[in-house]
This record gives sequence, C-alpha cells and structure tokens, in this order.
Amino acid sequence: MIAILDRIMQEIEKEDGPITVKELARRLDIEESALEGMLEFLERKGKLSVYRPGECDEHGAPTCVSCIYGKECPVKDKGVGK
Amino acid sequence: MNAEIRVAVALSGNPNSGKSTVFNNLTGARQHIGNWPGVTVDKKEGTARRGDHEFVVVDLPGTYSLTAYSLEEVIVRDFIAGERPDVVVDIVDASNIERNLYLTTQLMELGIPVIIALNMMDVAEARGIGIDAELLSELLGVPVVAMVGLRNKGTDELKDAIVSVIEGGTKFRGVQVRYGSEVEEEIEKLQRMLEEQERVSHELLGNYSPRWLVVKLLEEDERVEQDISRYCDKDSDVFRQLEESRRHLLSIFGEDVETVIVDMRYGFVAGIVHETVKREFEEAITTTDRIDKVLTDRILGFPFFALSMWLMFFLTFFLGKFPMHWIDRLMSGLGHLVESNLASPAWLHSLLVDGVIGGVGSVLVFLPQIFIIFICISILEDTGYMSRAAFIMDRIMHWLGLHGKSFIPMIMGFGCNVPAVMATRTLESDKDRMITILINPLMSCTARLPVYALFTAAFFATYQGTVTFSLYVLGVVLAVIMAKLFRKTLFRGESEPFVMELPPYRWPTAKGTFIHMWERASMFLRKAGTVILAGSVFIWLLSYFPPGVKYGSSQSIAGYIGRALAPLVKPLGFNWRAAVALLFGFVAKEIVVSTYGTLFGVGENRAAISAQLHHIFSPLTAYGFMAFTLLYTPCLATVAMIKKETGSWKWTAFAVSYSLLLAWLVAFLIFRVGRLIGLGG
Repeated sequence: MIAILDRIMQEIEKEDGPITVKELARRLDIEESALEGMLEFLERKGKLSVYRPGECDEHGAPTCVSCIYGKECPVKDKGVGK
Repeated sequence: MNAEIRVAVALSGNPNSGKSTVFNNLTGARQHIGNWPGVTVDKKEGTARRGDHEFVVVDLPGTYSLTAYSLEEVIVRDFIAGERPDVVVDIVDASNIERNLYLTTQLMELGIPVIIALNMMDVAEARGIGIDAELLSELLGVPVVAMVGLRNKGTDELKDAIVSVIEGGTKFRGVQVRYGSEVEEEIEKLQRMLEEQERVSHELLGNYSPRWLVVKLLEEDERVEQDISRYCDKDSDVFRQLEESRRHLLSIFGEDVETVIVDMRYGFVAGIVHETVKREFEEAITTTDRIDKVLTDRILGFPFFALSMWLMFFLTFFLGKFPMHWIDRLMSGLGHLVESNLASPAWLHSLLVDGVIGGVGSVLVFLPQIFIIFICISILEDTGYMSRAAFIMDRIMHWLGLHGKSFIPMIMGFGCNVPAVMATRTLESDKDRMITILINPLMSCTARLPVYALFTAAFFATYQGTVTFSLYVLGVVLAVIMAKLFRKTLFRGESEPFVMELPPYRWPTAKGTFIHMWERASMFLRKAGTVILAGSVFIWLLSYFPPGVKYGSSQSIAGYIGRALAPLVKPLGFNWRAAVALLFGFVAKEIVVSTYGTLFGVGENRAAISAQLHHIFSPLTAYGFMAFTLLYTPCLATVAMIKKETGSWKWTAFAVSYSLLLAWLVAFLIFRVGRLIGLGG
C-alpha cells in the first residue's frame, strides 16, 4: 500500500553504498525536486539521512557551495564571505 | 458605474516558485510591507484591479507543505484558515511541477477556492517539459493559468480567472486526495464525531474544513490537536476514536498514519503528473554528469581518489622545499644574529637560540608545506571533489556498518581533528557518532605534517611525498579496522540508509581558495606563537636544568623523564629523547618537532637536526616513530573536544588509551617485522 516512499527505501537499501539524489530520481522516474521533498520527509521520520554539501552557502561564502562541511563548517563563524 | 467588489486573494507557493514576481506583477507599486503578528517574517500586501473588482493581495511565505514544522507553514495555514481569503492563488513552478503540486493538494484540502498559476512555463519548455494545462485543470477541478512571471505574461489571465471564480463563472470542485478505503473509513468516522461536538462545530468548523482537521489529527499535528482540545476534552469520544483509528491503521499498514497519508498524496501527485506532463527529451547530460561518471565510478573512483591524495603530498613537498629553504636560512640568520650580538648571560642565549628559535623555528620552517597542503585541500573542496571523495569512501563505510556521513568528519580530520570531532554532531545515531569520534584522531591532521616533513627529509628524501602518503593511508586503514571492531563489540547495530546530494563542479576562485587556506593556516600560526612557543620554553627549562649539566643531556630533567619512560619505547627501537618528544607532543603534535629542535641544542638548523636524528633513528625506526606520532593519543585540544562532545570522561579516557595502545602495537610491529624481513633496525 505504501507506494512511492517504500520504493525509495527499497532502492536505497538495494544499493551497497551511498546513492545520489539525482541517480535515485532517475531510477524511480521522479522529478528530482519532488524526490528531495520525499527524502526530507523520510529523514524527519528517521528512516534515512541525507547529506547536503554546501549547506553553509547561506552564509554567502562563494566557495562554500561545494564544500563538504555543510552546517558544521568550521570557518563560517569566522565571518568568511559575510 | 458598478459598485466596487473587494476580493481577498492569498498568494501561496513553494519557495523560488516566482511568487514575489507574480505579486509584483499583480500589484505594481500598490504594496506595503509589514510583519506577520508576533514574528519577524515579512508580510507583503498590495492591491490590484480588474474591471470593478479590487483585489487585496497577500503574499504568503513560501512553503513546501502545510505541516506545522516551520514558522512559514504555520503562518500560511493560520492565515488561510483564520482570514478565509476568497481565493488562494497557488504559484506552481512548472519546471518543478511534481514537487509544487504537493502543496496544491494540501491547499485544496482547506476547502477554499484555489487557482493554479502555472509559472515559469518558459523554463519548463526549455527543459522539454510539456504540460497539458487544460487536462491538469480538469483532473484537479481548479482553474489553471499558464504564466511567465518574469516577462509579465499571464497576469491579466490570472486576474480574469480570479474574477471568474468570484462571480461563479468557474465552479471550484477542488478534487480531494483519496487516502484509500481503510483511511477514508476512519476519516469519515472521526469527521462525523467532530461535527457532533457542538463547541468544535461552532468555534472551529466555520473556518476549517472538517476533513482537513481530521486528516491533520491523524497526521499527529500537535497544533490542530491543541486547537481541538480547547473545545473538546482529551478523554472525549473524538480523541478515543482518534487513538483507536491510529492503532488500527498502524496495524494495517505497518507505518504511522502520517507516512501513509504523505505517501498517498505523493502517489496522487505522481498520477496527475503522469497524465499531464510529457517530457519531450531526456534531461541534458551536464559536464558534472560526465566527470562524475568517471570520478564516482565504483572501480575508477578509488584509484583517482588515491592519485589525487598522492599528488597533493607530492606537490606539498616538491613545491614546499624552495620556500622552506628560505625560511630555514632566515631562522639560521636570526639565530646567528642573536648569538653574536646579544650581550647577555649564557642562559638567555640558550633560551633564545635553543629554546625559542630552535623550538618554534623548527616548526615554522614547515610553514610552506602547511600552506600548500591547505591550498590543495581548499581546491579539492571548492571544486566539489571532496564531496565525491566522501561519496566514494561511503561504500567502505557502509561495508563497515558505519553511517556514510561518518566519512565526512573523517575527511575533515585531514585538516584538524578538533572541528572534525565537532562535525560528528551531524550524525543522528549516538552509536555512529561515538565510533566516528573514536576513530577520528587516527586521521592524520596537518599538525603531524611537520613531523613527517622532518623525518622524511632526513630518512626518505627521494620519496617524501610517497612515504607521507603511506602514513595517511595507514591512518585511514586503521580507522576503518577500528570502526569495524567497535561496531562488532562496543556499539552493535545497523546504520540508517544514506542519500547524498552532490553539488555541481565549479572552478575554484583565487579569493575563495585563499580565504579557506588562510583560515586554517592562521590557526597554525597562532598555535606556533602560543602553544608551541610555551612548549618550547618549557622543554628548554627541562633540558637546561639542573644547573651545570650538559644541555639536553640524559642528566637534565628532560633526560631524567626520558630515561624513566625509555623502557616503554625501547621495544619500538626508540630512545629516551623520543619518549620526551612524544610525551610533550601530547599538547600539540608539532611540539614533537620543536622538542627535538630544543633537545638537540642546535637551533632550528634542519641539517643539524637531521644529522642528530641519524644518530638515534634508522629509516625503519623513523617510519615507526612517524606511525606512532600519527596514531598515539590525540592532542590536548582534540581530547578536550572529545570530552565536550561525548560528555563522558570514561569515553575520553578510552579514546586516549586505546589510541596509545594501538600506536605502540603498530610501531612495535613495524620495528619487529621490519627487522625480521631485513629492513635494518
């Protein structure tokens, strides 16, 4: 009965490693942005976790877009890019 | 002229759906900005006209859904339910229609006429997305207006659609999502009971659609539950039935009702999209996709990652040797200057030359290498490659039963273990977090680099980069083994699945790279001027006293301490000086180098230090010493961070002692096995 969310979980568990949102969207034939919404829900439910690099982009540091630190960026509090 | 008809219009939509552009197109200059009551979120209001209709338009905050998890969501639903606008215009980004329609389904549940403004049609067309707006309107039972907000196309049509809805020309059916017979049965039961509650009916049902309230109750929406409990006791039939319905549905679906409802909504949206959206061509393959095909490939990804790491160390030593030579000469000159010009007592000479210049200078000469490695790490991060490295390594982490996110703090550990331990906060599972904290100090931070630089220059001059690279690999391999061991023994369990968003590749900017490099390098410089300086002076004191003994000899206090510890390191092929260096290296790993600089009493002169090292180390024991430095007890700052993050002295003590034991065992094996296979001793 649980349709799309279950398929997402099955697809992720089938993989013996990480999977990108893009690849998952392609496999499930779901629009990438819609999948992001579904993943956010599943993450909130504690069923999986999503890593989003560059979450500190909001701090305006141009080079942080692709950095790996996300919200835990050790340099963001030092005013880089502000 | 007809009397003016005022129409309350609420603009709703996902963030970045072009809502503000549509609002500006509708209202022009006739707008003002205030705040939503009690919060600092902007409230934009404006007016628009069409014939004898005046629209009072409110731009609601952008949201993806109408749950009560964010302030924006609460504002939107409170406004729609409380103010009951005549029409809700739902701005839908046509290029991301599947995500946007999820909000639409919830807006329609509120029971207020909805008009879909299908915005960004030009972007959708450019991406080969064709949307049958007429069919969409028919299937959802709401008017759909195609728009290009940025070019002010469709604004008049939207105004006409609003007028038509108000005048009854367009009937609003608002198709509701059906949640399946089992859920619908429970909704019906609860809805009936809610309507029977006189106070609820009187106070709430005028504003809220009863179906929406019941769906929210089933979804365990706390705000709706609070609202209803104000007019209906918690032990009333409604709440008893609610509990019963939740239990019943859980037993059928094996999932909580919220998950079932959300899934049904997504299923409904997927069905609508399937019917109304045609993708004329496959999404274009981007440069990022092409690069990722190689760099994140299961087979090719690993060697490329290893090659990029090796190249980083090669460049560090190859390019670093030139400026290092200049700093070395500068420090030597400074030492000679002090020695020959300062008319002062011998102890002060010794303090300045052996203690300060010898100690701090011996670390500072490696500043170029530190700068270069930080530049390399910054470039790898800024291009987006480090995210790929984490992605590639996640396969190993998964095999270990560790969370994929664990590798991210581990990669951070290459820079400094302190923020890396802090970064484990991103891990939700306590067990994953503890394992990651415990193995993080095994990742070779840049503080170890001066030790590697000193020893590889002295013993492995031709293969400096490769030998250093091997130490980094050793750290990663041991971290992986320890993680597996901890997972099997101390922290049993499975880690949750992991999905990763990979950012597009970008050219790093010089400014950005410099900022990142400087942020880290300046930390190293501050450390040199504080901890390393203090450590060097302290070791000088231990080497100089008691008065009358030969500086840095086995008769000095340092020698006494070293001789006391020597039996512990003797099986590893180290002497008492190594014991002293390792003891003080606990404060900061660079102090291992400054200790030698101070103990040898030859100033910071690298050639002299190197010659002295040859007296007490062989290439085999030098490698063992570097491995010991890599693995043993994390530095003081990291230990403090481990205590802070674990909140436990027990686990902090465990982190210190297990790594010390591991370092001893590895150095012992290197020494003994090396000798056995004839690598000297």
